[in-house]
Amino acid sequence: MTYRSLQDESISNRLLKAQLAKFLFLLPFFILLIIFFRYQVLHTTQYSLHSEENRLRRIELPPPRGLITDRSGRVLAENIPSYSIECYPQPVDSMRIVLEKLSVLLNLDKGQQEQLIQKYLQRRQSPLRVATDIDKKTLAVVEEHNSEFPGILIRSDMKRSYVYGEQLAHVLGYVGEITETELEQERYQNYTIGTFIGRSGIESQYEDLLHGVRGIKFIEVDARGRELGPFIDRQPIPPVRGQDIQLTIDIRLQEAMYQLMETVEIGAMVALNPNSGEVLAMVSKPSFDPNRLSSGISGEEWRQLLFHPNKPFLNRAIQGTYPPGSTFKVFIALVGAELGLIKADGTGQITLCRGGLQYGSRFFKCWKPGGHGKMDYYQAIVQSCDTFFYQLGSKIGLENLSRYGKMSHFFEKSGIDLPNEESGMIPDEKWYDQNYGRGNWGPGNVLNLSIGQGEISLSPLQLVNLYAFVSTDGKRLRPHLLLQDIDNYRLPDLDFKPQNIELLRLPLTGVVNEELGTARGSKLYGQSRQLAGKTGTSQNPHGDDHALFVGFFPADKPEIAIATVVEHGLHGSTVARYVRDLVLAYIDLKEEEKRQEVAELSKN
Amino acid sequence: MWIKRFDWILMTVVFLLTLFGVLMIYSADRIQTTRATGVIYYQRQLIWLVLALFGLLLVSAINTRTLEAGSYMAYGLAIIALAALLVTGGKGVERWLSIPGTNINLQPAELAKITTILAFATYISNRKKRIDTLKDLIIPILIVMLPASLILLQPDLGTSIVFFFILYGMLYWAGIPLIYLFLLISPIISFFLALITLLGQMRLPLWGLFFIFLCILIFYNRTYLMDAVIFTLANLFTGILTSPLWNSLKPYQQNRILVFFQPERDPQGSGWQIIQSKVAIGSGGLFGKGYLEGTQKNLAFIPAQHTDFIFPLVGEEFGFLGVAISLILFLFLLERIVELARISVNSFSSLVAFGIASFLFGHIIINVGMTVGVMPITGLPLPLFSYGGSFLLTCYLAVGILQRIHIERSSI
Repeated sequence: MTYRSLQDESISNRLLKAQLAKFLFLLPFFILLIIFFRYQVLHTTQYSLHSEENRLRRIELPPPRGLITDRSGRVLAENIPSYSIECYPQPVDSMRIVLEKLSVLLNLDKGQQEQLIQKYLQRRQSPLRVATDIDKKTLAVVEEHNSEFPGILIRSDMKRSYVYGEQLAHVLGYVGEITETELEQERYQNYTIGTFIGRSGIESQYEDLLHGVRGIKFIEVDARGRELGPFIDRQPIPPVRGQDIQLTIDIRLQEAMYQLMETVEIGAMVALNPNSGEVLAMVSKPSFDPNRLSSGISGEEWRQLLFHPNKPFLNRAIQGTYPPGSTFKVFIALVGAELGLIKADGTGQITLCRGGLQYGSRFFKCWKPGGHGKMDYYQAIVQSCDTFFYQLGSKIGLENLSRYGKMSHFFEKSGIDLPNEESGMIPDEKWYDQNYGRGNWGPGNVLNLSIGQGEISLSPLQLVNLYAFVSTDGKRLRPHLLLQDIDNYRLPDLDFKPQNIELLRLPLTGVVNEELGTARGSKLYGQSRQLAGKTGTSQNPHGDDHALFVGFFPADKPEIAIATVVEHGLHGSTVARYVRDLVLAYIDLKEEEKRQEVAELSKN
Repeated sequence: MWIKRFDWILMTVVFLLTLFGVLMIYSADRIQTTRATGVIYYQRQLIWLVLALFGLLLVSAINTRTLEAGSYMAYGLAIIALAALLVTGGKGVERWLSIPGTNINLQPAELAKITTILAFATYISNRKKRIDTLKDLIIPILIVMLPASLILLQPDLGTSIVFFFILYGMLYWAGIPLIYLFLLISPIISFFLALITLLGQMRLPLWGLFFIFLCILIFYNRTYLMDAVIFTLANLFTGILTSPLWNSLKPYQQNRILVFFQPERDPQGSGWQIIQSKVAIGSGGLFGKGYLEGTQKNLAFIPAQHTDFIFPLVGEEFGFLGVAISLILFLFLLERIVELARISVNSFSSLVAFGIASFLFGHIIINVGMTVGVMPITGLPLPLFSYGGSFLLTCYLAVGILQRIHIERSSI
């Protein structure tokens, strides 16, 4: 065998080369060993933790929301199953393909698909919710063709359902999915993504009661987040259902009220029990369908509701404040009686109404051009004579009026358990100075206030609260919706003499029941008990006047007080009929209740 | 019997590593995703092992002179196969060539490694003149670059990088001055330095500094004028052309390079493998979670764990101990082959042995390095360990040649 040597090669040279080569081979191995030592010995704890987390996914389970029932236990808001479609985390490209496939079925256009992709990119570890609350037909199709849609998951959730829909929308409010920003707030630290939270009304007011406690389950997942099943080593913690709450609402009365308001475009009506402050029914028009809002409404639909000129989200019963018009005369009369200007025996102020009152350089008109003739306080209320109250108001003066107004608290928030109640308003000298400037207003303003016009305003709820006070001879209870012992709602008595309050009830009965009463058209015939109340017209500088009526029944021993406002309704006597009809519905309901009780008793 | 004159120590190490590999493939088999596909890899690997052993015995029976004589022909066949792949294969990755009439698919790229080593060794050992200038290097470089470029076109970046290791190792062993080896690689260093500067990873004009250093080196080394000009220009051009070159890379290739620098760039995409691999390795600890007990593996956290990412499994189930033992075995294997190359009487045999060592070294370092993120993910299997018939066969054929060399040396 011939020996062919490599170039420049001697034996020692080759040995040197081999040794250098061995060293060069050894060096990277040595470095690799050091690297592995670092990972596996020095930092192993950190990676072990990571490895546990990797396969263990903590799934937070939103608790079922508490039910909401009416005063007799009828369900108003419940949870019903709904199905949503989710896609497992996967590479973006394959996600696009899955969405493309689903798009035919779910009517997803290109833009919506892209939106979903963007949403996915923000949370790539969690499944992407593609469609919520899908209908049964779609569900069936997806289940049937499951193999054609790899990596999708049909999840069954509970969704909030409002049994009475828009009839009770403003009272109950609605729920919406919690947002990322909200999740970061301390208030929502026990919440989990995908939870629905109250967005308005009772749902929002009693969020803490209704929510419950979230549960936790542990599942094993693979590298791409696909669920492999429950993780056996860790027990799941089941969620605790939210507390059920019972409202003071009588849903049958609510239904009747909503039906009465059917033709009303914009307005509100609220009924409460003056003896307990329990709100029995509350309607605001226009309304909205809370079921649509709770199951993922489209952005377009949402904007339409939000920017609708009639503001359907506004609960006018507590957020709409109106000058009370003639309904306010009751309060003027009360202050007059307190100051000794009018008396129960009719010996107080007597006014001769000739169609108005000349005050300084200005003539203040009575609504009746021919005048009412000789008026005492009783007839002035029954016939709603403005002249009488101009005179009474001028005697009371702004200072007294605003002092009594503040002392009575009727022009403040009533404190009802609903979010965002608007405050009423009664101006004083300071207010006029600030808003009109000192000297730019005169004592004439108080005349305007005396007939409930101008800067004075009340919400329908605050108005009915005032009448509840008058009708029960001075009982004060905070209006409320959560059914609880009424002792929780008692308010301290006001500094009005009981006989002064008492003297108002009779003329209010006269308004409806006397021949000259402004609401005589709403007298209850064939009933032993009578309706009492007061009409009002709230002057509206922007269009037709708003019509008001506030009343209570039965006049002598009231069980229910009702206020209603119809925007652009022109006159109080027209809307008094709504109140009358509601009272009739109330009577029917009471009688039916009685019949049922008798039937129950005879059964036992 | 010629088998008696085998290097049985080498053989034992090879068997130990292969069996360790089969054990790991068996472990990797026991994951849910594979069960779903119904493919049992470890059985296939065992069938291939039998085939590979036959190959080993066959090759070890062939005289090295015969090998030398047939080397150019084998080389030519491999080139034709690689070219055929490019022609027949459609777009995308096409690496397999099915042998007509059989169920066997071969990867010509794997076998081309052996034929290239043989052809290269034949050329160098038969050269009459010394290799002094760049001109003398043209043919040996071409011998390696031709298959490497064909493979790069497949495209298979990893395997073509291994050819680079072969070229380098064998040039070194052939006695090319170290300065030339450095100058040969300098354009690539230029490329990376320019890239780093281009991508704004560093403020320093790194490439510029390197270029100045290179010029000084060339000047003091008294390199042949022609070569000096070529190297200088080559470095200048790569430095300048880096930007268009970079832009000509496919986005996934760019991404792989970028993710290599920063795995956290894309924790779900390309960086995913590295991160998951590190977690598997790190969570293994000193002694590992125990055979078949790897949780990361069980949940299919590591992609390609039968093939390219089999080593993290060793790390997870056998811990640092398992890693150290395998790495020491590999190192021992390499050192044993280098020793064989040193004591070989004949320069062809010596070069072939060293070429095989370089090729195995390239595979091991890149594969193991990428599992801990110090090497880019190139898709290279781990010799003797990873699942893959063609590659296992290639490794055993290489071992067969080594045994032959050992037999002939001991026969003098």
